[in-house]
Amino acid sequence: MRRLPWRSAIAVVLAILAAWWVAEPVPSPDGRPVQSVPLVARPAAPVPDRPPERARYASPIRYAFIPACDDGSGPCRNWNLVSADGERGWLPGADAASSLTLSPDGTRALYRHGEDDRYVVADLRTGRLTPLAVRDEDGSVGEIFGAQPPRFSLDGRHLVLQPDHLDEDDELVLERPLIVDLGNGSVRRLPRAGRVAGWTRAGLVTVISERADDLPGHPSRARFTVYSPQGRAVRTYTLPGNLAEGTFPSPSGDLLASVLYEAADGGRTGTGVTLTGTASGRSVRTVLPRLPPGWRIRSIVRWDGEGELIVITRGPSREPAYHVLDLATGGVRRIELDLAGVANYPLQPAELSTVLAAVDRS
Amino acid sequence: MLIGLVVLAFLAIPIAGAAANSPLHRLEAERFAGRQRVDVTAGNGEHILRHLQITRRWRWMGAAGGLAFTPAALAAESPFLGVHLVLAGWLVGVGCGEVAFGRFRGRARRALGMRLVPPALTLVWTVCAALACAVALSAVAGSLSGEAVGTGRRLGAVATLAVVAAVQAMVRELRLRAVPQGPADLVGAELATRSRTARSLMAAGSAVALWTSVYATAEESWSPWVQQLGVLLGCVLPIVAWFMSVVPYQVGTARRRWDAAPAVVGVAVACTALYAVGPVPSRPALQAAPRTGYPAEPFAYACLEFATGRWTLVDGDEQIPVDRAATTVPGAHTRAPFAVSGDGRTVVYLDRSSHRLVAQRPPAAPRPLTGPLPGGTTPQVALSGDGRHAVIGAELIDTSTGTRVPLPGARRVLGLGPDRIVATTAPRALPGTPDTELLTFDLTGSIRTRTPFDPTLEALLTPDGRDLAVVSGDELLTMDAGTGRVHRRTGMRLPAHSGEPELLGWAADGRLLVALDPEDGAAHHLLDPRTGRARPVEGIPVEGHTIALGSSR
Repeated sequence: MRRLPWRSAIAVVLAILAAWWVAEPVPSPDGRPVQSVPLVARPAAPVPDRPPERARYASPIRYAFIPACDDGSGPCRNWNLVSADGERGWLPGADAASSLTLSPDGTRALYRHGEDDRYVVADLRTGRLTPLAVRDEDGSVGEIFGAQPPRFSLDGRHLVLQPDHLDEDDELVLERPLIVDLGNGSVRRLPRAGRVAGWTRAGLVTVISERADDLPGHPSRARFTVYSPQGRAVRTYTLPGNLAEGTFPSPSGDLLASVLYEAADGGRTGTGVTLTGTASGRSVRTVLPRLPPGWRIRSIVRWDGEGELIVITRGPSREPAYHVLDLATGGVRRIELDLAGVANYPLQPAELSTVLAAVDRS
Repeated sequence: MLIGLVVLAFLAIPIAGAAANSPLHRLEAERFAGRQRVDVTAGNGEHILRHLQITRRWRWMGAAGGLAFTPAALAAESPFLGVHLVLAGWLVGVGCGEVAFGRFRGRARRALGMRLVPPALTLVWTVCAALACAVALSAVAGSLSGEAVGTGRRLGAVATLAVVAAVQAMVRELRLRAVPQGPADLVGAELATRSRTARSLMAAGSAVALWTSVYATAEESWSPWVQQLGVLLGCVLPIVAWFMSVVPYQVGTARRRWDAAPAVVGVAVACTALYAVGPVPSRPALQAAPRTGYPAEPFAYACLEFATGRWTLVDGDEQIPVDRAATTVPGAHTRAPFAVSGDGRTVVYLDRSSHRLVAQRPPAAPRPLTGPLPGGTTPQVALSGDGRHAVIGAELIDTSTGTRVPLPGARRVLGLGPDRIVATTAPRALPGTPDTELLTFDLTGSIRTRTPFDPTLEALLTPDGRDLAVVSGDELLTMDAGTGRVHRRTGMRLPAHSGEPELLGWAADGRLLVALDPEDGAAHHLLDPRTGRARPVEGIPVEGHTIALGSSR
């Protein structure tokens, strides 16, 4: 009588079990959670007044916005601009899925041109496009997830671009910033990565968080570096690690502004603005804005001179607005913007759907 | 890309096979004779040359097949993977060559009683196989216990076990197959060729098994020193094995034969791994206190169920509703304070009808700690481990006598120790907020120490009141509560999650109960602050619930 091939049978059973185990569906999150979420979740809604396609404007641009519509038309797919004279138009090639940056004087716009993923600077007075020697084929994960938007320098002669990507753990990685000289088109990559904090008159300020074992009450410290537009480190200073994020350097570089947020009941409450001296590392003043009842500061957009901040505020019904905050008095002045047609959704809040340029000082 | 690699392999393998058909050089036979300490004679020369020719062809073809897939390693920016693939291909070639040589035809007989491999190489192979099996089986055990084990890890585990099983089986066959009858020099050559194959299998198998097991590990589950030890072993053991496979060695008589050694060691290590990932009790014994004098078991935690809008004390399967406890602060629409002492015997809550904060040691009646709170106010409440003291807002209150002591400047209580209270001068804040101060008070309300403190940190006082457990990124720090100095940093080995873990309380064995927002699996874990190792805690409700432990924040 022939013996049963029990060893082979066991091997086959084990192989089948192994194949079943490997092929069994693994409960996992839906891929890369950051990328799987549509950045612009806009419902199909008609734009009340469809602006025309327009690349040239007679007066400087006051602000740009992503409209709250998604019908695939030009005004819905691209950034819309509003000039100081009230002229409106949508900018061809300025895809609303990417960021757009306006120069402080409102005469130029930077965006990633959809055709070849190259950054271009558009002269909004003449409509002329100047391509930069910087491409961004993979795009950005978006500011909502911590990516840094491009920024013009205070004098408008330079730009900083900070590429980003997600690592294998879906953590945001900010790459080494690039400084672009808009005069000759040269591009310099800074020697170290770090979050871009902003421009000062001395240059670009970046900050990295470092481990600290000798700083009582702090596991980390924030190392700020000021780079000249030529990419040379001209100043460094160190502050406690809690100031590594959410801080904005003043034009002189002497102060850092940040919103005081209290964490409460799983949410956050902005209570005011604090100014920290970059030389001393100490808080020099806390400004309590004299906003209408129910209004609170949500975030800082930028400094406006050495004495004012442009801030984003939220009203009692969470309605967004822009204010200029006088740091000496706490007084506020509302910037009149028509935000009714601006996209304002959880992953595309109004403050990320709007870009402010020149501020009306009248 | 995969199709391209397969095509490349189909091209590379025949080319390598054709190249290996070239005549053997005399030196190769001499090298074989030297390593195996066998004389090449007219009677056994043909046998040896045939073995060398066949095995060389298959080994080259296997290595070429592995080499063809190295572009995948380049794409993955992993030079290690490239070496791994080539060696794995070569190992497959060793096995195929032996099959092609025709030694495995027919039935096996009894063991030869010969030692084909140097004992040192057997030892190295045993250690490598045991380690690799342990890692692979821990992935299997983790999968069976509900851990999210990805397809990559599963493939790694299966491949590891397959490599170990295949090498062990082939070596066993080499020991069992009958030696052909013939002159002594032919028998010697037969044993020498078997020894060569067995040594090659064990040497390459050691490296391939260890390196393959890397893909069966969960990176976050190993502490840095274990990872460094793994890298060291993964480099040193294969080198030692390779050295032992090429040193001169003559087949001798085995004193004893114990094929099962790798399996036994593997099972032993695997049992350890199984134990390490095993389930934990569903209910953490939070600060178990002496049970004499109290009629009831301590409560593990309190739970606010949103559906019923009611606080419930949970003690294992027993749930006792606290109907008098308010769930929201009148006029504020925020969650009402509720705290459970570390020993699980005292609770503080907002009385629904009187709007007072009361302390209660069930089954005793509640005792008011404050007057009626004005609408909209939500003071922070924290309880000591034994429930004797409570901090409400900036006051320390004796829950038995009602004695009150002010804590000047305290805004955020990080915990109550046996002889001190630790608090900060500002609430928890988001990044961008300047420093707050870390204060320690004695039980009379005097400030004992004062030091700067990062207000963005999630922190909890240890039960002895000396240190703070602080979350910083992926690390858990131990910080001196008096000086703010960091004593220790431990990498938290938690499953993938978003956001920062919340520190909830301490278990009686010194582990820390943390809550997190996991991508998959349990939301509560018990974390060892010394090792960073965490085990899931089942049974604590997550969806639609809020739980309260030692303090209400």
